Formats: sequence, C-alpha cells, structure tokens
Amino acid sequence: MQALLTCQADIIGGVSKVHRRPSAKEQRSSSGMSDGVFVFDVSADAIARRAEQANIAVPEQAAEGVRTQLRALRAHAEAAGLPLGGERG
Amino acid sequence: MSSVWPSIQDLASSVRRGERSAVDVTALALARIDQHNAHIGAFTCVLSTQAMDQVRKIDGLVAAGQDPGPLAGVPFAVKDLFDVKGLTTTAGAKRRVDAPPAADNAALVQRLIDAGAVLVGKLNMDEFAYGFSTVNAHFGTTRNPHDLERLAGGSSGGSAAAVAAELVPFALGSDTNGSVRVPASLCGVIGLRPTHGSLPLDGVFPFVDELDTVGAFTRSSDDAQLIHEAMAGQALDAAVTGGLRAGVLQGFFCEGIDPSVLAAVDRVAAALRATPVELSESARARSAAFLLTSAQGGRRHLDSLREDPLSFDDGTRDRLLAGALLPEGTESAALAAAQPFADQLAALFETVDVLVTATTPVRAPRIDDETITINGQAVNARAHLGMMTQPVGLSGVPALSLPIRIPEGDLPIGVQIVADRGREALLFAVAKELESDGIVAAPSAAGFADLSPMRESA
Repeated sequence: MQALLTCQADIIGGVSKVHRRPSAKEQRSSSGMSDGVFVFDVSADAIARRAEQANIAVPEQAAEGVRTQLRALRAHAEAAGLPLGGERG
Repeated sequence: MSSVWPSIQDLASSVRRGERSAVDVTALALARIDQHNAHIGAFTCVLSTQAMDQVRKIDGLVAAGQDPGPLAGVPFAVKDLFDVKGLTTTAGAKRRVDAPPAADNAALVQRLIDAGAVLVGKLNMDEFAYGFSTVNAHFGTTRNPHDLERLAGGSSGGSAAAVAAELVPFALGSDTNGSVRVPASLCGVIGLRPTHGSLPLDGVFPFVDELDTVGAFTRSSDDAQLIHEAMAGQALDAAVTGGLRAGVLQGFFCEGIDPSVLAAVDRVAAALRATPVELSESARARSAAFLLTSAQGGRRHLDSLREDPLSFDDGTRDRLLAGALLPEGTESAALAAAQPFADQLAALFETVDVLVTATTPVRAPRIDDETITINGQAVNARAHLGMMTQPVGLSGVPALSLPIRIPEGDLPIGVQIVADRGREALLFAVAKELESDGIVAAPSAAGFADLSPMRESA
C-alpha cells in the first residue's frame, strides 16, 4: 500500500514531482536490457524516471490506471519468459 | 444465411443482369440503417448522397450494356480507420475529428468500389483499435444485436454488429490481436484474419506493424471468399477437404472456458475428425503480443500523449501511457519471446492442415460486467476476450471465426479455424463443409431479421 501511494504521488504531475535524480547506473538499468537482464522495474522511482526520460507528464487522473497497466504488463513480461530485473512495485 | 439479403453473388449477379436496380438495393441498406442503427450504434457516419450517386451510375452502366463489376450494387461499410476520400479518418478518436480529410480511398476500399460495391458508411470501433469491446467514450457503445445489453466485441464492433443486424451484406474491419475475430464471435458472423502482409494496408490507420491485418465480416463462407478474393485481386486456388488433417487445440485454449463454448469446439472437432494437439508456448505468445502491442502503441502515439493525454478515452490513455513507459527493448524482447510459439506452430502444420479452437472463451458478456470467469477465476472481461486470438497473430497465419448454429434466441458462439500462411482457400473450404453439415450458420438477431422485399424476390 505504501509503495502504491508513493508511486501515485511520484507520477502525478509527471517530471516536476520526481524527488531525486537517479544515478547514471539507475538510468541505464531502467531503460531496458542490462547484463542480459530485461529490467522492467515498476517501482515508483523507476516509473518516474521513465516518464522523465520519455518527456511525458502523467496526468493525475491517469496515475492509478497507468500503474495498474504497468503491473499487468510486468506480469505479462514474466509470463513471456523475459529475464526480468527490477522491482515489482 | 441472411433473412434480409440474398448471397452477395446473387445480389451482384441480379444487378448486373438488370433484374434488380442498384438504387433499390442501396435504398434498402440505407433504410435499414435509418431504422435500426440507433439501437446498436454501429454506424458513425452514413454516406447516403455519395452512395446514391454511385448506384445511379451503376444502373446507368447496366442500362448501357456495360458490366459494373463482380460486386455490382452490393452495399458495404468500413471501420472508421479506413481512409475514405473527403472524410476524416477518426480511428475512433475524438482527438482526430478535426484532422484533415483523407486525400484518397484506402487501397482496399478503392478495390471494392472498383468492383462495383457501394460504400454506405463508416463504423464504430475502440479508440485507435485498442480494445475488445467497442465501448467508445466519444462515439458511444456499439451494442450486440443479439442482446442489446451485451458487448458487440471489438475493436471492429461496429462492423460485426452492422452485419449481424443485416444492415449491410458485408463490412470491413481490422485485426491486430483479434479485432475481427472477437466481434465476429460475439455477434454471430464470419470474420477473417487473413495472412499477415497478404492484403495492402495503404490508407488504413496503423496500430502494430507486425500484427495489423484487415478482413471482412460476412454471413456465409461463400460471401467471405468472394469479398476476400475481390480485395486480394485474384481468385483463390480451389482447396479440397478430402483427407483433411485437423487438430483441436488443448491446454491453454480450453482450460476453464465456458462449457457451452467448449461443446461447440467439440462439435466442430468431431465433424472434422480432429485429433487433440497442444501448443505449450501459447500463453507466452499471448503475453508477448500484449507487450508488443502496448509498447508499439505507446511509441506510435507518443507525441499526442506528451501534448494532450486527456484528449484520449480514459482506458486507451492509460494503456498507451503505460506502453510509452515500458523499458526500451520491450518490442524486440516480445518478438523474440513469441518465436518459440511460431516454431511450434510451424512444426504442427507439418502434421495437420487446420487447427480448431474457440474464438472467445465466453459468449458476449454484459456491457456492465467488468469480469468474466476463466479457470474459475474472475478476470478482466475486456482484456481476456482476445486470449485465444492473440497467440495466433504474431505467427502471421490466417484464421477464420465461424458462427456455430444455435437455437433461436441463444447468444452466438464462435469457433476459430487456423491454417498455415497463405492457406485461406482451405479455411473457406472447411467453412463450407461445416455449413453444409449444418454446424455453422450465422444466427438471425431477433428484432432485426424482418423479411424484406429483397429476400422475397431472391
């Protein structure tokens, strides 16, 4: 529950609500394959970082729905057998 | 069989011989649209003036002893992601209603018009074809003609409903993950997903390049073949079903699905003497299709998502935003994940000619039902209606959804027949055999199936 609330707070309003700058390593690992592992992190920070990288501001009313969709997609990535890394969120 | 329209072959032949006027045929379609569309919400645009201008020319050609073409005077309509010259292609999106009108007809629309078919309108869909429900916040919900409280399916729901309600003899839709086959199944009509890449997509609003196809909705396999051939620009080679090797898919394709749907699959399997077969990579392929669709959809609409995300339908917006936020490499990873299924399918087609499975796991859900039950679990209805159509897509093979004959008043059931790439002729041959055996028949929707002068004189 805490993670969900944190995520909503982070992605509401998009880039302006990102609390901290990710390290270079974090940025690399949130954007795809890293050392043979497909990093599909749906933690709050990871979603906010990707929103920032994609220059997308997720509207407040979409935050919950986007979060739900990303969790479902991570489950599909797991079912598709991708070598996943990152937090489930 | 339609209670309203003769077969497309008979309809066109009678117009070409001057026994029926093309004006009368299209006037009937327009009258039926006027009478019934408000109940089902299939059409978003009716082209009365344009259509009547065209049919007067067709009748003029016949009177002058010229041939207007093999589809002379046959009314049809298209999902609103096909370009129609002079009209805006909305792709079901409010944000596109003010987009510039199309400069030309989509290639397939033009081929059908060149063959004498008469375009009478455009049809409702899920926004940007991203859905299995045709619940559209701007253009409204398309309702199932067999029960107006139930989903027509999507994303080509307007096309399926228009043919199920017999407003037009045929309609075009697109199938990325099942968007022809799912609504065909729920509405009780025939729907073809052709071999990927076999028909031109020029002038069709894109969704997922590796998956997009377009196909027709009809009420008989003869009609389906005739329209497919007109779109392909050539007749199919004859296919025979003697010695047919059929397999009926087990495992993923039948676990926990509605017993009445499973019984329909068994009936078809028995008629085709199908042997049980399994594709163990099916669930993985379906998940891969989900990921590819989401990632590419998000990428395709990225500029619009940045500019004005609130201009999308809520559900579409959330799915596309999530897709845009997927890690880089998702598309290539999804394609790689689908390869084992494609390999299994190719190996299976060494030993069987066609595969049989349900098209949808359930009959049409109620519009207000959020969930359906699969394997004893309540799952999101709209996401799972395509669970049996999705795995097939990434392999590029053709699939035909066929309506099973049902008692009057029952909800339709669709069974999917799948063949190897380029074997549409075999699908049509199997469909004809099942029709002649009395197993496949498009049910009439009560309230829409009035006998018309067109049918009585046929």
